[in-house]
Amino acid sequence: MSSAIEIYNLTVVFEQGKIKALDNLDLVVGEGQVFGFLGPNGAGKTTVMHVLLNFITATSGEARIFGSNVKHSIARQRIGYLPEHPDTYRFLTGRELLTMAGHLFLIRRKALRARIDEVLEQTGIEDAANRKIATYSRGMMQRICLAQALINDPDLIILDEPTSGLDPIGRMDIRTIITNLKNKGKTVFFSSHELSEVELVCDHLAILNKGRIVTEGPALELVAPGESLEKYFMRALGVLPTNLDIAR
Amino acid sequence: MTRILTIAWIVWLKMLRKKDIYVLLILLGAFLIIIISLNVFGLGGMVNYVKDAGLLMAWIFGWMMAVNVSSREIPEEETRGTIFPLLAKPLTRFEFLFGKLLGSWSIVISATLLFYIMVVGIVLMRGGSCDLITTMQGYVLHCMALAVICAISMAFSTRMNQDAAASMTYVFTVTAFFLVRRIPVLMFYTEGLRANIMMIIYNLMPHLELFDMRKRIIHDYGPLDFKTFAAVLTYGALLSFLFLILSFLAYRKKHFSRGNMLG
Amino acid sequence: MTLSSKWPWFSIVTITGVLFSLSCHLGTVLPENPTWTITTSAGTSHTQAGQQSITDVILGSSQIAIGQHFMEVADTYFHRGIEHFRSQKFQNTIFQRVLEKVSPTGHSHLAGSQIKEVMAWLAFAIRLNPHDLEAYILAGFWLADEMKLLDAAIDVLKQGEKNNPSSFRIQLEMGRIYIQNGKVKAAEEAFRTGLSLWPSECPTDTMEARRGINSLLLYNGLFHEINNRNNEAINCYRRLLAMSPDESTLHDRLEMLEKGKQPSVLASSILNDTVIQSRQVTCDRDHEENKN
Repeated sequence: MSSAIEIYNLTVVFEQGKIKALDNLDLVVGEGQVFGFLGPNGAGKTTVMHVLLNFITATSGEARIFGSNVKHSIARQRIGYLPEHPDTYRFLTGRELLTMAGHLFLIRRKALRARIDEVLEQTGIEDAANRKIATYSRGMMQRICLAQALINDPDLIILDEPTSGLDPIGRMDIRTIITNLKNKGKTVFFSSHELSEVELVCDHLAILNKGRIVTEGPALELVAPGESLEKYFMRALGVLPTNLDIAR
Repeated sequence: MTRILTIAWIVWLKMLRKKDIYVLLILLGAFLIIIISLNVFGLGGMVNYVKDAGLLMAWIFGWMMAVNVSSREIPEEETRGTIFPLLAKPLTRFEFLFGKLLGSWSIVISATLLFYIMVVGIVLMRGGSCDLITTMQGYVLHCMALAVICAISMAFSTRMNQDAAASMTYVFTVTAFFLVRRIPVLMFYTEGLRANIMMIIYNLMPHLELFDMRKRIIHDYGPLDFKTFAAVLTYGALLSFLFLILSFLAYRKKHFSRGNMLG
Repeated sequence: MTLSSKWPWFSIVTITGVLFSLSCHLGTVLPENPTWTITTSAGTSHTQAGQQSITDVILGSSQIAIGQHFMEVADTYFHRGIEHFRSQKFQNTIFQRVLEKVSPTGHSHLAGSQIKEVMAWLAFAIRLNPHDLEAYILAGFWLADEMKLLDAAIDVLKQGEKNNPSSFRIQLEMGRIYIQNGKVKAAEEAFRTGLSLWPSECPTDTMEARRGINSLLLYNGLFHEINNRNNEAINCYRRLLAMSPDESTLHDRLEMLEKGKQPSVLASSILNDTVIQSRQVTCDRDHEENKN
């Protein structure tokens, strides 16, 4: 299986060396995997994603997407990205936003029209497509942003806390979308605090702490039968179970 | 180019839907109506003062728009987080900046064109005349000045928030427009270090006064010779490009933080 | 932000922008006074309390400075948009050469009906500072002498009289225009009023006050002569000679009158000649350029 993401010896330092966000990180995500990227707040999950998207430049090390160095814009041709708490141009309609996104991928007009209808359906916001985004609810905003991430029919979808702030129905919808993408053979790389969500959709996991990978592998191999992901996560981070946990 | 035009198109839609231009057009219209409705000793047929006041307003409004639109585009993208999905696409930072500059500039010059049309329309309605070639030359040079102002504003906004970038641009461009041309006169009364500093400022600052053809339009001096016109245009294009490059240098490795860089 | 919420912001910015640009422009032409003078310039008078127009409320005292700026714009218009010559440390940089082509330099004047383009700025100056005597006098002069609109000139000066009832200069100018208009009685009345108002706002030792009183005494004297009130005429000429003893022709005339004789040149023709002679524009820039 070839790799969608390859990260070697990645180190990112902020504030002139005062903060080490990533420390010699190595990670490989294979094509077609749904890869859950877990870790406590400040572990470096978003930093990894930002390096992959070239929002920040690594202090040292290398990151590649489908074999291309992330520093080259061509590396982003096959990526879709949904940031945490996404926001977008509220003065546009949903359809205009998707048209804009499609133009950035140089998708031809006719193909783009068909693709827009497809992603609108996929994300379940066809009815609101011609409304200004300013009138959208939180969940709809999440969906339109996901739709624009999918406009180029990406092979790798990077999702940063995709379910954060959503109600249970919204979360379920996102889960369904991720499962559909998996079924289409797409690679999904996502971070989340919602361990139950991760447990339901991921086939591979990595746990990150203080800029280092603590553990990584297929979900079924890492989490022992009968053990919850939450317990495994705590164990991996070396957090001792409290009396309350034991009682559970 | 499609990507650059797409970014520019977004700036356009934003401006059109946020209605800033309409407010300025209404203000200019109201101002011109007040100006022409003033009784000037019962005399009619005076147009130069209408041209003067109208073009002054076109310069002020164009300036304000150029600074405010260009200085807010990038900081707003960053603070709202809308830059993340954008730069996650195969769009280089240079294309992003160029698109923003093109969008800001094109909307500002379109608004300025409307200002000119309004002024010329009122002058013609009052029985006056405007030399077409001179007016067009004046408009084109004005557009080039706005390109420089937009580029300066954008350069500041790559490293500052909107308010700071706008303030810095106002200080910088107003100095470039009003003070730089006076330096040869001021230096007549200055010696030593101060004179040397003035000389450096004179040579380094953009000479925005070169783009101001209002005197020719208002007082009917006729068109500028083609060679000078082309030279000033080239100078403006070079300045704009220079500030675009400076913006790119400041922006190409910029780290974005939205409070969750370490998340 | 909604459209309605932007109005105050835009209004503030617009007004600030206008005032700023004007003040900047003001800075570029100060400290010179207008270079065209019919008589010497008088200082700006003070605003009167009481009547407050919208411009008073919005601009406050700054309207006097803006009014003064408009006077300077009028001066620039008279010179076809070209500002004063200034000595420069260097003159032949590429920027200066290009600027000279973009913004023409040189020295020329508007004439005839073109002068009307100047009038708008004088009207604005008067609107902003109704006590700017220079603006009324210049407006009256251009209207009467260049544009031959004598009635309009009188209207402007009457407006000036209404706003500055104690000014001798307005009366003097009005008298001159009445003479040009053939309204002798009105002219005599204006000169008499002017004399009674002197020195008004001018300190008596100023050139303006001295010129004013000289003219008023001369014109009043001539009118007395025309109306055969020779004793009053003699009084006027004596006062005039006491202040300006160099007027040799007036000495002769006074002598003749004191001897009870009729002077060889008629008072009416002197009156006409003097009014026309005194109404020539002098442009200080001619001197400036000659000096340089």
